[in-house]
Parts: sequence; structure tokens; C-alpha cells
Amino acid sequence: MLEFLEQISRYAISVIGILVLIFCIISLLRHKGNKTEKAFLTSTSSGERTSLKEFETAIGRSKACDIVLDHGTVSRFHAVISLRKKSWYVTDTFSKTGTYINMKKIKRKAPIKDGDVISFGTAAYKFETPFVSEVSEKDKNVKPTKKSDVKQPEPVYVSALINDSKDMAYCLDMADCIIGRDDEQCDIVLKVPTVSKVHARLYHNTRGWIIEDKGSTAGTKVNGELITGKTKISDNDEINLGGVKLKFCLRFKRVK
Amino acid sequence: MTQLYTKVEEKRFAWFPVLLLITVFQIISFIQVILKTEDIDLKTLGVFSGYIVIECLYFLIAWLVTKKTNFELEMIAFFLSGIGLAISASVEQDFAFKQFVAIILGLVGFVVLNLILKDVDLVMKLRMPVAIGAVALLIVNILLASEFNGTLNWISIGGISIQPSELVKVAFVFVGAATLEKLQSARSITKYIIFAVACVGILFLMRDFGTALIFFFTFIIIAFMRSGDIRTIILICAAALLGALLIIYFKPYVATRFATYRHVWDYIDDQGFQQTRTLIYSAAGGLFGVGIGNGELKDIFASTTDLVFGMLCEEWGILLAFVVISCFAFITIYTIKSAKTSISAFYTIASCSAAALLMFQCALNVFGCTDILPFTGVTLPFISRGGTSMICCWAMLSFIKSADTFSAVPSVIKKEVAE
Repeated sequence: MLEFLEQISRYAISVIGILVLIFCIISLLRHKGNKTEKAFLTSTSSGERTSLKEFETAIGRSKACDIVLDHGTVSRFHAVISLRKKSWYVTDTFSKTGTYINMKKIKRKAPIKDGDVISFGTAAYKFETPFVSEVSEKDKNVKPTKKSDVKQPEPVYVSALINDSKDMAYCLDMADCIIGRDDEQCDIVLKVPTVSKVHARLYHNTRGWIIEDKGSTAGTKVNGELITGKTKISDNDEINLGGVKLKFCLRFKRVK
Repeated sequence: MTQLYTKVEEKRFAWFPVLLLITVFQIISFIQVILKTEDIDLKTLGVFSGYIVIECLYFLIAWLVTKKTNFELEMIAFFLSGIGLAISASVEQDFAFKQFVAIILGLVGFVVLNLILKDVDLVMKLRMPVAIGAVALLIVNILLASEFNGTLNWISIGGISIQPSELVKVAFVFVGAATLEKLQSARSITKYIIFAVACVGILFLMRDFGTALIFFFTFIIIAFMRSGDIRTIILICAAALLGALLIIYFKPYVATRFATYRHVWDYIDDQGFQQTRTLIYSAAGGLFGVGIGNGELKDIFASTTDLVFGMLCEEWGILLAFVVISCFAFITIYTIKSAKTSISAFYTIASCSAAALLMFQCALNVFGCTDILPFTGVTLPFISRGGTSMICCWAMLSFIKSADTFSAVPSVIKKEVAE
């Protein structure tokens, strides 16, 4: 009898073991996770809307980030927007150009709420969320830096092309732009006959700002020298596009 | 326009029937052990009944306190630990008591670590002391350890033997996940690399190559989780391979540890003794095993530790051995699924690296004793006998558990727009 029971129990433990595993697997398959849209970031310039589905969203120029912003003033790992309990926060992850909430620079971490405008460098986004932020007393003490306490709007620095003769500045809000005479194809339009329809391309990469002639008739000069390929430009360099002289300014102060 | 927010209800895990099944499973296996053991003492009976009581109490208290039902991981851990307890008891009654104490300590560690991990700010504060403590522990290990089985990884304090490298595994995942968290700057990576190199280097000096390999694999997972760059990982692997070749060139005795790899049958009565016996007796077990306590492998050295998978195959059957392996696969898939929706990158990195560590350790043990991989002498998580190993396994489980956002309040709110 005992031997018979022992034989039965040999089979029973295997069967029970399989049943335990099956129960757990069924539960795993039913567990769908909670990847719903928790908030949105809407670009103030283009109106493009990006949804935030994670509890933490890394923002930066690097491809490793959840939201990649290919913008000259955005650092590789610029900031992280996070949802903690029922409050949203933005944390600046040691970016070069800083993170701003409603034009006020934050030191490291600050709470955000529905309707706030968050700027990563000069790339500004409106933050929208269906959740009502419940900022704790502790978090209320997370204040912007002293500099931001000044009531005057804080200047924002962008790279720019300055036309001294016309007292004009073309702010380089995008990381890649085309300069020329044609309104439709160019981001910076120079209505001068000696400037070709599509004259040059100015873009930002890991090396810095690069200018490239797009086969213009009059050519492109940097500090008086005609360029043939891709040329890196530095602060205060003079760019001559078919006779139009523009000065490149790496950190141009723009007051909004 | 009004915005309505409705709660999305998750389907719940039927934890009570599973607990019932596991309890029946354990009662049957413990009875088999009792019937096969001559002169069973009261302490062993107390261990078996105590284990079932603690298991049931844990789930009851956890259910009442947290109001949650996501106990799949703990169920699997108790299921595996119960098998390990029965195996230990079937070989030596004293082993069962020590294993039982280790499970309790592991469970306490699991709960405490879970509470610590809830507060990411606290984790950030603790990472540096934990890193320093871990390296110091390994240095103390080298200074105090006496050679056992060709390695220097055991120290004895007040008659209790502990394996510090097992505890450092917990610190390795803790520090790694905290250092490479999204909210940290890239500057932290260098510090972590120094910490990782220090740990792996000391393990090499201890000649504990199995654990060194586990640490390296975990490092690769953590580095990939943070960078997402496959080229960086290839570069790290290439550097590690070069380092390994240099070690073999300058310290040729290291290679002799792996001389029998893929040739165990040529050394059937010396270096390949354990693995050949494991293969023979595993095959003899068949689908349902020869019955608990009826095996032959239990008389071979390290049958309850390094060769435990062989014992499982022989006495419990290949079917149950397959269930055990599937449990580790389940833990891995569960981790991947919950890591996708975790509330912080810290939890994602911690859970994935902990699951990878358990899975890799399981693979090293199973494939090592069956001569598919070199025999490194690492333990099978939750099942092999060993106090520090058991505590480490439960700690790893708490890292995995921390990423589970089941019923996290904001995420179950669905936005609906109505006119």
C-alpha cells in the first residue's frame, strides 16, 4: 500500500508542479501592463504633439533618449520628465543650455503642471496632462534658481546669423536649416539676386555648427575663403553668401 | 466638453488556488522525505511544518496589508525553495534546518529590501556606502578566507560559514542600477566601471571564476540597459576576452580548471567524476524520477549544491526538472513585461539585471553539471543548499518585484472625452 502511494506521489508532484507553472503563466499572459498616455508635449513652434507613456521620459539629442530632439541647443541627455505618485516633475540632467519652466530656469528638479511651457535650451514645449498635480509641501520648496526670481523675462541664448548692415538676426532655432532665395525651400530667406535659390546648408552636429555650399553660383565664403566642402564655423566667423555678409554668433541673447 | 477618468481593472492572479497547490506539493514531497529517512527527528518535522506555516502566513499578511494579488514571483520562489528544502533534508537532516533558517533570513531580506527600494532617494544615498562596503567585504574575504575546493570564497565567523561574494551580488545590482539611473549624469558611469572592475578583479584573485563570470554578465546587462548601444557591449566583451586570454597566458593554472570541459568521459574516475555521475543518474531518473531519497547521486560530493540539478532529474524526474527551468524562464519573461511599465529607470535596470543574474546562474549550473558549459561550481538559485546563496536569491527577487507596477494609481486611469 505504502509503495503504491509512493508511486502515485511520484506522478502527483510532477503534475502539481506543471499546474503551478500553468497558473502563473496564465496570470502573466493576462497581465497587460499599463502603457497608457499619461501626458503630452506640444511644440510651441511646430505644434507637433508627443505623448508621454512612461513614468519617466528622457529627453535629449541622443538616440538613447525616449524623446529625441534634434536641436542645436539641446544636450545629448538634457532632462527627464517623471511622474511620481500623482505629481509631475522635470529634472535637468546637467544640460549645457538649461531647462526652463515658463521661462524660469530650474536648478535640478522642479514640479510641473498642466499648461506649463517647458524649454529644453530653446526648444519650447507645452506640457499637458489629464492628471491633477498634487505637489507636496516638500516639493513646493523646490524653487528655481535665484537668477530666475528676477521678474524680468530671462534671456534665452541661441545661435544666430547676424546681418549688421540690416540690423537683423536670424535665430537658429532648428538644428538644420537651408539658406537661399527661395521662400518655399529655405528656412532663412535672403531676397538678394546674387544669392542662389538654395545657396547653403547650415546644420549642427557633435562637432558643432557646419556650413555646406549647395552648389550656389556665387559661392560661399567663410572669413573670406571660398569653401568647397563641409566647413566648421566658430563664434564671430564671417559668412559671405553671394555678397551678403552675415556674422555667426554662437550665443546670441534673445529676450522673449 | 467634460473629461472623465475611469479606472481600468486588471485581471487578478488567483493566488489562493496556487498556494493550495504548492502546499499540497510540499506536503507530498515532505512526507516522501520523512518516509525515506531513518530516525527522523522532531527538528526536521518542525522545519517542514514551519516552512508551510511561514509560507501561508506571508501570503495572508501580504494580501491583507497591500491589498494586492500579484504574488506570482513569491509563489515561484516558495515553490523552488520548498524543493531545495526537501532535497537538503533527504540527504542530511541537519542541512534542512540550516536551509530553513536561510529561507527565513532571505524572506526578511526580501521584505526589508522591498521597503528600501520603494524610496529611490534613499537608494541614491545608500549606493556609495554599499559600494564601499561591498569592495571592503571582498578584500576581507581575500585576507581571511581559507582555500576550499580550489577557491578562496568562504570565511568563517563564529562557527558560521558565509560566502561574501553572494552578498556582493546584491550590492552589485543595487549600485549598478542606482548609478546608471536616468536621472543621474553620465559622470557616474566611470565610478560604476571602477566598482565593477574592482569586484571582478578581486573575484579572479579568489579564483572564483563562476561568480566572476556572473558579475561580468550582469555588468553587460546593466551597461546595455543604460546605453542601449550594442557597439559598446561588443567593445566591452572584446576587452574582457583579451583580458581572459592574458590571464590564461600569464597564469596557466587557470586553464587547468577547465581542462575536462567537453571531455568528462575521458576522466570518468577523476576530474570528470561528478559530471559523469550526474549524467548517468539523471538519465536513470526518467520522466517521473526514482522517488525522493531513492537516488544514487546524493552520495556524490556537492550533490545538494553544484550537482543539485542532477539530483532533481534523478529523484524528482526530468518533467519536474523542466518545470524548475521553466520557472526561471517565467521569472525572466515576467521581469521583461513588468520592466516595460516600471515607474523609474532604476527599477527597470535593477529588475532586468537581477533576472539576468538568476537566469545566467541557472544556466551555468545546469549546463555546467551536464558538461555543456565549463563546470564552474555555481549554485542553482533557490534550490541548491547554501545560506548566503539563498539570501542573495531572495534579494534578487525583491529587485525584480520592485519593477512591478501592478495597480500603480496613475497608470490605471484612462482618459475619456465626452460631450
